[in-house]
Amino acid sequence: MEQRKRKTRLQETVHQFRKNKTGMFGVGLLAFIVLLSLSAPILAPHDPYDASLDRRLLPGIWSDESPDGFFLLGTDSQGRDLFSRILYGGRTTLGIGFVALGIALAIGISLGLTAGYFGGYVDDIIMRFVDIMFAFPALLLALVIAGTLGRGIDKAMIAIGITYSPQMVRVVRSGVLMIKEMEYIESQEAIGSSHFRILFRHIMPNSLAPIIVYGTLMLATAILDAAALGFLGVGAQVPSPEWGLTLSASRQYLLTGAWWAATFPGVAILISVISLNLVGDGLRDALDPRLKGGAKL
Amino acid sequence: MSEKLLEVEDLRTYFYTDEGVVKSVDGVSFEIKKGETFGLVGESGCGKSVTALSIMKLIPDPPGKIVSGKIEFEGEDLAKLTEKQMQKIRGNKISMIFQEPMTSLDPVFTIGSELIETIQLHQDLKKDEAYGQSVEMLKLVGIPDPERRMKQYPHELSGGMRQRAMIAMALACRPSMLIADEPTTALDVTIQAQILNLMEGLKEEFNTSVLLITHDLGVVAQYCTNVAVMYAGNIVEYGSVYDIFEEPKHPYTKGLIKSLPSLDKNVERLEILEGNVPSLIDAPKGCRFQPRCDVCTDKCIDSFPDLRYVTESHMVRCHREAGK
Repeated sequence: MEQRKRKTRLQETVHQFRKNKTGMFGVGLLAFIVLLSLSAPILAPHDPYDASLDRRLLPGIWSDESPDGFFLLGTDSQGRDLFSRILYGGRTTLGIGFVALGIALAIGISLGLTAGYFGGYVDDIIMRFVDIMFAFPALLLALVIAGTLGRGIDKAMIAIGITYSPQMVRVVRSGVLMIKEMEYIESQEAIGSSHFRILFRHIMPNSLAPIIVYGTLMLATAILDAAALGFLGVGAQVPSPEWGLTLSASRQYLLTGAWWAATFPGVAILISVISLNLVGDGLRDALDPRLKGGAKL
Repeated sequence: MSEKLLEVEDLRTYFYTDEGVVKSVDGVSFEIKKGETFGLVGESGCGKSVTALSIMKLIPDPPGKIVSGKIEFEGEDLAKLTEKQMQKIRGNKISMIFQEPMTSLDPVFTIGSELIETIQLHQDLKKDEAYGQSVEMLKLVGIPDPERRMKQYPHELSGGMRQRAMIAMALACRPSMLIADEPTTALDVTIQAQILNLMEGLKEEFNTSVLLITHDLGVVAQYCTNVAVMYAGNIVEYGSVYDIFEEPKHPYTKGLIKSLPSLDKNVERLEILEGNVPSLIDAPKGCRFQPRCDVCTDKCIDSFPDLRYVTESHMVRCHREAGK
């Protein structure tokens, strides 16, 4: 009995998170979407690029006019199967989101740690630059960067990654500023640890919680912006099945009766963003030490 | 055995703030012999901790700076060493333990991994050797069931246990000097005595010198050999424990000792030292204690007294005593 099962911070967080119903629902939803996208080649009933003008804008299985060829969600303006396109599009849209987040994290963590830990002029220079980036609306900035770099999915990833890094720099820096004043950092200095060691072994793990939470929520907006760039025509290019692009290509048919072609890609974006927001909120609750039930003093 | 280990000479540590230069440590000199416990006493804000951090060269720069002074440790002037060289000395030859055991251990590591890392930082040991040594250290500082404690996180230990773990970390590399900055202030009285006795015992065992920083005169009387009393960035009285407690010369020391509760005397109220430590930004040109002193003279207002010998082992910074 005395030999209480020891828990790492990770295990404790997972334990806390599992108690959060909406958070778990978010994880389930997200896993479902990611799984569907990953297994698109197996699940997709049709080739997402197989166009045929004979079956333009056919309704899905909810309608009597649905054809025999099994088009679950109907077809788009080029006669391609919408369901297959959404499955494949998830790979692109989610992929842009994840890579963009990765870029934002890499820039944000390295600059944030440097600014927060070393302070002084280094901090001033980095943070003033970040302030300048903040002066631009996020989507506009992404649009400008993507426009400068050229069209394409890879450019969209870089553009969104750069656009989001200032926020990450601020989050990381504020964490570092708080942690570096803690006494255990002082005692690490007194024990002869190097700056490098203190920064990466002690400050970074301790300031990870807000980075994880913020990163998850950022992923949701990154996906939204990836779709927005596709919608505006600077991100993914035709005939890519990217959700934003599909949505934008089909929106003119909304009023002509073929509502499904624009609605379903939109719903896909909606579900992924909601699931990520639920996960992010759940993580925030699980990582907040004040809400921890298991804290022993 | 009275070889000197550390000699601090004319140490001046200033902080450059927007309001002006704060002379936190303004010309402090003392020496610590091998194996002795040296007490540094004074009220909050008098520069005790800054002195300790200066020896470790851990003054946050900016705004702080060691302006001048010599810190000779084992024949080497620490003031001249680079940051890299200091990192080899910290934790290895000079260790420090802090006031707050509750927050001085990194919450994301187990006690064991912090100990093992500390040992491996300074000694070329394999992980299992370092593990063995860590368990040994925890046993030495009186932590029961050390193997289990090694796997625990700081929040799973009590304050006393954590301070013991801190001491284990500080002494893991057998340093020749331990700086203890109010090591027991945050602990229960019963635990205080245990921790101090533990430090005393380990000091004997490892032949470590201890620089004990405290505002508790009772602790000083019990554990220290020599004592320096600090006031407003200066040492005002310096001598053996006997000198300080039996024959205090400086009015500040006298006041401190008078304000201690005593079992022999039956007093209604304890004596109070009126007033506060003066601002260290524009220190008065005369004696710094003069505004609170009840026996001051005109000379005290005009000129700053030197630290002068009254007996062979006893120094005091007061015009009245020097005149005798």
